[in-house]
Amino acid sequence: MRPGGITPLQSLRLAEYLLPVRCVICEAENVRDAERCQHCRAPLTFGQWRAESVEMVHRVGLLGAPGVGKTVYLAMLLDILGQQEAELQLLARGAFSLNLQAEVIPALARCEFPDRTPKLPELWNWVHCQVRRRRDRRPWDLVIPDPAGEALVDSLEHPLNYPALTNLFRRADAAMLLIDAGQLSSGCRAEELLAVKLLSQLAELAPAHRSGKCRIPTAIILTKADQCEAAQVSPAGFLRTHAPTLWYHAERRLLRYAVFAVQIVGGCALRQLPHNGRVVVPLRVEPHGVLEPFTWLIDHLGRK
Amino acid sequence: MKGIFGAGKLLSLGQAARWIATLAEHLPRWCQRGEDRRKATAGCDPNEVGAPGEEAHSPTNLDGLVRRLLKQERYALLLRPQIAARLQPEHVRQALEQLRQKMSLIPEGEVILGRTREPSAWQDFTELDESYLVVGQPVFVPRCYIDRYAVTNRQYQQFVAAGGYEEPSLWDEAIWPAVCQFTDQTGRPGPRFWRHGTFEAGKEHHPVVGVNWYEARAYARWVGKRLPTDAQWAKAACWPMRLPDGTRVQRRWPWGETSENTRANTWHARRGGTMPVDAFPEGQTVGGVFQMVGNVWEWTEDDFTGVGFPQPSVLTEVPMKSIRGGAFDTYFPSQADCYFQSAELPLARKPNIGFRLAVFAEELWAEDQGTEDLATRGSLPSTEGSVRAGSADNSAISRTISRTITIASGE
Ligand SMILES: Nc1nc2c(ncn2[C@@H]2O[C@H](COP(=O)(O)OP(=O)(O)OP(=O)(O)O)[C@@H](O)[C@H]2O)c(=O)[nH]1
Ligand SMILES: [Mg+2]
Ligand SMILES: [Zn+2]
Repeated sequence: MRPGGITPLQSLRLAEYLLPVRCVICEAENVRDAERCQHCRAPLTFGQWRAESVEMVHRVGLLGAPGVGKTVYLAMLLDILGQQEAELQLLARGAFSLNLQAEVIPALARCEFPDRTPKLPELWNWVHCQVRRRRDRRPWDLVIPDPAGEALVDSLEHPLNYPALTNLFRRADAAMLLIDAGQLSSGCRAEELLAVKLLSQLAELAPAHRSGKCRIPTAIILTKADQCEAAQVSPAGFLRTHAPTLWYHAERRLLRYAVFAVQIVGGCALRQLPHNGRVVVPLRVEPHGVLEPFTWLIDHLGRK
Repeated sequence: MKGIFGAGKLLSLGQAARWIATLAEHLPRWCQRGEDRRKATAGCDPNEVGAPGEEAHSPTNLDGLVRRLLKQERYALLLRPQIAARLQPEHVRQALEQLRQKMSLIPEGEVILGRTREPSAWQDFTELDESYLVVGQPVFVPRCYIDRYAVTNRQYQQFVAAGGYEEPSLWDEAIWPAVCQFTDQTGRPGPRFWRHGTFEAGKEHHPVVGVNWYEARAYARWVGKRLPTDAQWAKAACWPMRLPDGTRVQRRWPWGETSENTRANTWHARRGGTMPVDAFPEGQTVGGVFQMVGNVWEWTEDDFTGVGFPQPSVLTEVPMKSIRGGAFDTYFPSQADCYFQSAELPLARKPNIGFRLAVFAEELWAEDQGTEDLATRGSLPSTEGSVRAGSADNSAISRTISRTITIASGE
């Protein structure tokens, strides 16, 4: 070994260090030290993978208007699947991926809803987990970011401002489109039209089938079904009657979709804040229909 | 239109108008149903005994009447002092026996209604005083009885079959116009998830669900009991005690201080639905009351106050009723303990809300009065003439009892 020289081992490390890390969301190359993708701001910490393994990761787009219930749903899904001795299990990869659960679940247990997701991608929770199914020989990886609804809406007008979302639309392997059943049943068209916008953005950007339809499996999820019993009884029928435009778009533009109804809580009330204003609080947590859409997606996901 | 709401949400003005129109259409029919039944009963028997929701029966057979009431588990009605005083000692003994089997005696005393304090807040207490574990107010509960089991489908069916939905005296007057809408899947009067006036096969011993607060109360009147107050429920569940040194002890769960999936039918027991009311015997209270936690939420008499919630207080847009104990789908153990109070609209008919009943001891024929007292007096009220118990014609007693039942259950 020459003084000041590099040992073979160190040189190997250096070579490895010089190898770029690819972002799971946008597949851009980043230096190994970076915490976030310089291009889309997705965290890189959750995937110190070799470049080629990025292609093996499945991405699921969690889409929906602000306040539709994305954060609460995703956290509950992870919590249920993270403890289940069952056919399907999700195992969070890295402490980072547990942040969402750690923020939301204790809050729900205290009868509080979590704060709404901030608009800045740096502040979102990006869940990276391993899917374990009895029928698969090996576990495989899944990434589900929990974006702010406000950012999703904004990205429709200004796609370049949200490279992470634009890339998610483009590269998603499956999507969950959430829509508030309570709002729909009260005749809120704005809610429906926003979902239509998100759906058509997905249909434009996501991989297409030769029929021209978007080929990624999409679960349309009616949230807050506790406020709307008709949605629980027949989710597809409810969508057809209460969101006919969305239903029409789904029929025309999606190759594979299914409609589900989900509730996380059994009822809500208002709580007077010490100074001013009121917040909605859950009266009890009674999850129903949480697993069905996800299981359907996993079953229809093309394996890489 | 405050106060008019469907199961789960406020009606818009338009909806309310339609609802009123529907009512106008149904109301006569509902009244007619009761009318028809009364006529039918009257037709059968000139000495019509007219107890609410009774099937036709012979009023001359006091024994038969008592037997039927006992079969319908309406012993609390028989034990009303004004009725018990007119019964034969044997009848009172049988009713008392049923009371002992089916209900648990809750001694008088205080219970703290509130919530358990987060362990992180314990450090705020320099000395561990009695309130370091629980935040809340002590409430006095008089001696009372509470059902050992939630009311089952089979029990509730007796009420439905006896015409309970057609008997206005059993229902709060304010709700009369709506009772015709308390129907099952096939439009027959009865719990929401039943079909053709009956429950799903195999579920006779499951708690009745899909009944709203008013239906629970009507059934309670029919059997001569009441919905438990919030404090009664909590006292029965957590079995508070005062140690000789004055310290209060009360349990967080009926069986102790730790949550256990195997002792109650909550989400983590993974049954996905209701279980028979005598399942999970390991979860019973000190007093032998089953499933205070899990299986179904239970209606209580009281309004929701948000005692279990972090302050400041929780408001609801319309008044809600306090429900207790958690259900098969309650996810967090902390929301299915003896403290936690949730809320539901009184008209909601949910698949996970049922009820059990209670009665204050002072409302009943005092057990310690014994049956000798009755025996020495004979079973006859002096005002009713000189017919002695066991004699051939006891129709007068029977009539009096039936009349008293009408008054007692409709009060
Ligand atoms: N009734 C009812 N309300 C719910 C349920 N889930 C969520 N909510 C309500 O919806 C609100 C928003 O839920 P979030 O999960 O934060 O919604 P989000 O889609 O993540 O919203 P953004 O972060 O702003 O995009 C909550 O604060 C609750 O008031 C549910 O199952 N039932
Ligand atoms: Mg969110
Ligand atoms: Zn990126």
